Amino acid sequence: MIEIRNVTKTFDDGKNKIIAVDNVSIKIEKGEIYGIIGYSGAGKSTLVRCINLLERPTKGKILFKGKDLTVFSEKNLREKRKKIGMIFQNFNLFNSRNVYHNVAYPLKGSKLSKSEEKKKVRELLQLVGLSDKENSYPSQLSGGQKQRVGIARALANDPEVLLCDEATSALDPKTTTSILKLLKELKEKLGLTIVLITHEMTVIKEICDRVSIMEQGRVIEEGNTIKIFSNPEKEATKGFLETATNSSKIFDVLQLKDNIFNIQKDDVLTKVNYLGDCTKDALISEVSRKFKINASILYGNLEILNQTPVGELIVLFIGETASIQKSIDYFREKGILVEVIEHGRNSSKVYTKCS
Amino acid sequence: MEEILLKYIPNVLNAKEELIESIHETFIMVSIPGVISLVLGVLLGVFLVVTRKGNILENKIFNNMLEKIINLFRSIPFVILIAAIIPVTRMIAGTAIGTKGALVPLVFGTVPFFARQMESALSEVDKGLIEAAQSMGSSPTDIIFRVYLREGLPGIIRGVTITFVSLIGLSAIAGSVGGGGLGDFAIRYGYQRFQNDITFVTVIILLIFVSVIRGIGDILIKKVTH
Ligand SMILES: Nc1ncnc2c1ncn2[C@@H]1O[C@H](COP(=O)(O)OP(=O)(O)OP(=O)(O)O)[C@@H](O)[C@H]1O
Ligand SMILES: [Mg+2]
Repeated sequence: MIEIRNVTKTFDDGKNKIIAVDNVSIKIEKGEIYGIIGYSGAGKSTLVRCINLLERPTKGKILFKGKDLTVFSEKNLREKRKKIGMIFQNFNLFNSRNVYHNVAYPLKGSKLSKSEEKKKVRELLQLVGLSDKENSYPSQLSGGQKQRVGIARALANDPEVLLCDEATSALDPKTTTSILKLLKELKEKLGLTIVLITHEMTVIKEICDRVSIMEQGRVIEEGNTIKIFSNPEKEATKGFLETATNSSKIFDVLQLKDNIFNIQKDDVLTKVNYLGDCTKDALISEVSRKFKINASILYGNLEILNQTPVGELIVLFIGETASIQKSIDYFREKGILVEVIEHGRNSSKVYTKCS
Repeated sequence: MEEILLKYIPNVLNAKEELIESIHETFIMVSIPGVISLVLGVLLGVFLVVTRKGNILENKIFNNMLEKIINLFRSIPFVILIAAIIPVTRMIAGTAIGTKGALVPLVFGTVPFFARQMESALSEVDKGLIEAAQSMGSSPTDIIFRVYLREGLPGIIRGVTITFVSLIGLSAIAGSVGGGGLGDFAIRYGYQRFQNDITFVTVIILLIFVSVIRGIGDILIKKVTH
């Protein structure tokens, strides 16, 4: 649907040259929710603004349904923009217009009659669950309601793509969830393709099919959300994942001097990641019995991403070194990723999805 | 009643006809240049903002030129401006004296002032709104009329109010150098003939003018702010 091809954007004020986006290529398929995550200043907003050419790329192409937008005339570009909706962190509603007229704003010039326009606006408001707020002004709405108006307005010209720049960053967690749920519904109902910028991993976890991690203008890791969650490669990615789980806290606890878990010299501490239905075999008790070791779970976290469970455990193996090695090998055979923490051996990452 | 007035403002009653005539002249000197300046000022203010760097019709040369011209006119004291543009005034109004002759300098004095007021009102419009409008496929003309002039309305009205109030001041100056109006009236009677009651009444009338303009402005602002 959208292809960002080798896009670079530099800002040059004569003195300083900032490379906000550095040779980024991303392909976004029809009907998917694509996340772009990164810390502040990573270049996410600049990148997403390049998609509808609010920001003209210094280099590279933006293909929308196969056509390069960067070569379009201003007039043609404006027509295309109607097919690419956008919502914002600060909602950007027109304060002088009520909800109805905010939503009707982009319909000017669409050749709808007054009554058709009314019908369209009412449909849109119903879609976002704000039918009763037609006559309210933005100042009378809550943040979540404002974003719903923003969404309705962005959808007025039946776009095929919706760009969301930190659309939930100004909202509380509960409202965020409800907006994300709405976006997901819209994707399903309207076959919308959604590009979503955020700095919160929880947002990615909630609704994204695929995700790119951006750092200093570059995409450093890309993949489907389940893969990124279960097997991140880059440190920055892991950093983001930790914000969405508690696993960083357990590491803090493990590093405490007083050794609250009473870990002995020969014990092996591991991080175990699994995916899918590996859980149904009682693996921990199985290895305990089979190899005569003790395995105790110090920490566990389970995420459900697109109906797929993604689990992370911190397991302490206690017993003979050879038996522990066998247990770990056994886990790996079963397609479970085991990483040894605080142990001389290098951890090897063998990963296959459970069948 | 009649007696009280005679006691406190005898000179005003004597010059009643002239007073009414002056009010009328002031009204003309405020309303006609006001309306003309409004149109020109809005135009210039819009151009000042939209041709700025990074804005929808960015144009460095045009913007620079406009800035310079406005600054030039703003830096000339009004009394001097009146004298300096006499040839232009003659050309446009046919005369450089009287109320008619005051109209042209008043426009020249007010337009740059109001353009700046407009500029600051429009600058207050959130950049995010312009961006949102662009993302919805709005053209520059659309953005000017449907976003800038509409979202900036409270600020614009405030600017108009201030401009009219300052126009009253300018009209008094113009009056004193031969344009008629309340300023002229107060100087001729109140100042030169020491008829203090005339100065006093003129001040009251001007105060009422200003209050009415402010009041209307406030009501309108309240009406358009949601
Ligand atoms: N118009 C501009 N002129 C100059 N530099 C800019 C401009 N817009 C963005 N930048 C710079 O480009 C870099 C990337 O900014 P961008 O807004 O894309 O980051 P971001 O990832 O969206 O951050 P945030 O999470 O804070 O919104 C920053 O260093 C920023 O200072
Ligand atoms: Mg941003």
